[in-house]
Amino acid sequence: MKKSNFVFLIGVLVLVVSIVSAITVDSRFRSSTGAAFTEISTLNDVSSPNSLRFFASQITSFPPTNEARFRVNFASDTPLSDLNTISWMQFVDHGYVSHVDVYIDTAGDGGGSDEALVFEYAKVDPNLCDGSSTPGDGIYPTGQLNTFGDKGIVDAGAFAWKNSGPAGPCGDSNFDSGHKSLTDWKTTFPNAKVIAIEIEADGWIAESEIFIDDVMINGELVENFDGSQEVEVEIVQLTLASITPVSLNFGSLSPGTNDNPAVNGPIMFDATGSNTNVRVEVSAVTGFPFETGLKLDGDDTPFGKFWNLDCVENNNVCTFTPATTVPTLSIPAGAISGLKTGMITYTITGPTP
Amino acid sequence: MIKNFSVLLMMSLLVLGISFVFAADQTVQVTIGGDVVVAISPNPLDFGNVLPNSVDNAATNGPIMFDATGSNVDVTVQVSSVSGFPFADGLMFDGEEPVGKNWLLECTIQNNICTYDSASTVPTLNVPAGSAQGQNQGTITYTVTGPQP
Repeated sequence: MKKSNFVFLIGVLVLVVSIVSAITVDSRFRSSTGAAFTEISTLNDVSSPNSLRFFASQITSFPPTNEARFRVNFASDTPLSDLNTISWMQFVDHGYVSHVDVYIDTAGDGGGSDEALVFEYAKVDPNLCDGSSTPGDGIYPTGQLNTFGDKGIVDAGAFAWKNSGPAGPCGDSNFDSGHKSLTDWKTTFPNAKVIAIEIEADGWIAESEIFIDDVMINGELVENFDGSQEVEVEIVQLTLASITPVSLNFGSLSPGTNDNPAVNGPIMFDATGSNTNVRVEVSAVTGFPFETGLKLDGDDTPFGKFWNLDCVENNNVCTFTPATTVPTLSIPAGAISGLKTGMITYTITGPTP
Repeated sequence: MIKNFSVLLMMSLLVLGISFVFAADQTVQVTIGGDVVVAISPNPLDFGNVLPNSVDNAATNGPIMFDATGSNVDVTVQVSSVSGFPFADGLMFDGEEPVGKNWLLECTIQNNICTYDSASTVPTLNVPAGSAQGQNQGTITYTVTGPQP
């Protein structure tokens, strides 16, 4: 074969491999649970100017776990067989090095994630479990690392343990049966799809503070935290209530009649526009003949009656079901003829602090 | 006489030798790779306290600035996504939907060094009626690219 043809063939092979191994990232999120947080930082960045800071307090009670996470969601049709490498830069200020969970749909049937493969420093090399120099020495690296430092990145030979099984120890048959290399997991789950990866720092071993940067999948840069900006807002409490009709009208009534309905009743209370639970309470009724003759839902003591309008969140927006009350009016015998006006006063409150 | 001649001959050879050293040239070369660095500030962008059903709330620490100082090529910054409530639907840049907006930061060479004018955009936030009370966080993601090959 001519040398030029050979070079061309190699070039074509490289192109084919890179096409087959292409990973489509759907979205990226960061999150935390328990006493943990993530934040964009300008400290310990590898690619200027930002890194992502993980902080997780040591877990002293469970739940919740204290975990700071960065998640990359994959396109729904990504086979596990296409995942070749995962790497990220991490500066371990203190605590335990961050790890990565690979969430998979084992059957690849679209049923969502039903297993996670955990690649962590302590278990990624089965010949050096739970240690750095000798197995079980419990010494873990700090400072600047590429993924797992002296134990390399996540690649074909990196070992992961199955999250649905025990977390250790190496040598235990139950653990060992669910502790395999990435290559072997691909064989175990030939149809599996990758749903997401999550790089995490947690507080299982110690309080951990880690700065990560330059997350790469199959050698492609997925995130370096330099092109993102956090945005924050505090939405303050707002309590509103509309009470209709504004002018409640009982029409023309005869003296000596009881429980006359309003011509434009019932009274409706609506808190739409509020963002908290709202309480509407009758605080006063004034004017003749309303002070003594007004009933709400047959209760002849309207003062103190109240209605709770509860916020039901729907896509971060409060919705409310209006409340109603049926007003009636009794006119004492001998009441002087003519137009009478009065006032119902309500107190509207949000939740008490 | 012979002794003096020898001294002169040696000095001539020495001068000739030195002349050879000074006449030598050396080529030096380097290839400087392309580099893209963009600082986007402030981070985080903060809208402070806002009421539900309010529009065009200004950021308390705006505007947003894009600075490519440290790069050595023309740089384009483009908003690729905005996530989180109420930002995904309520964030505006210069009064417009932010996703797709872009800014070109051009290298101006001074003494072989790229310098840049920073770009800026004014963010505002619309908050829908009934928005649940509390602290909300979101993320603006930008795509930062150098010149196309």
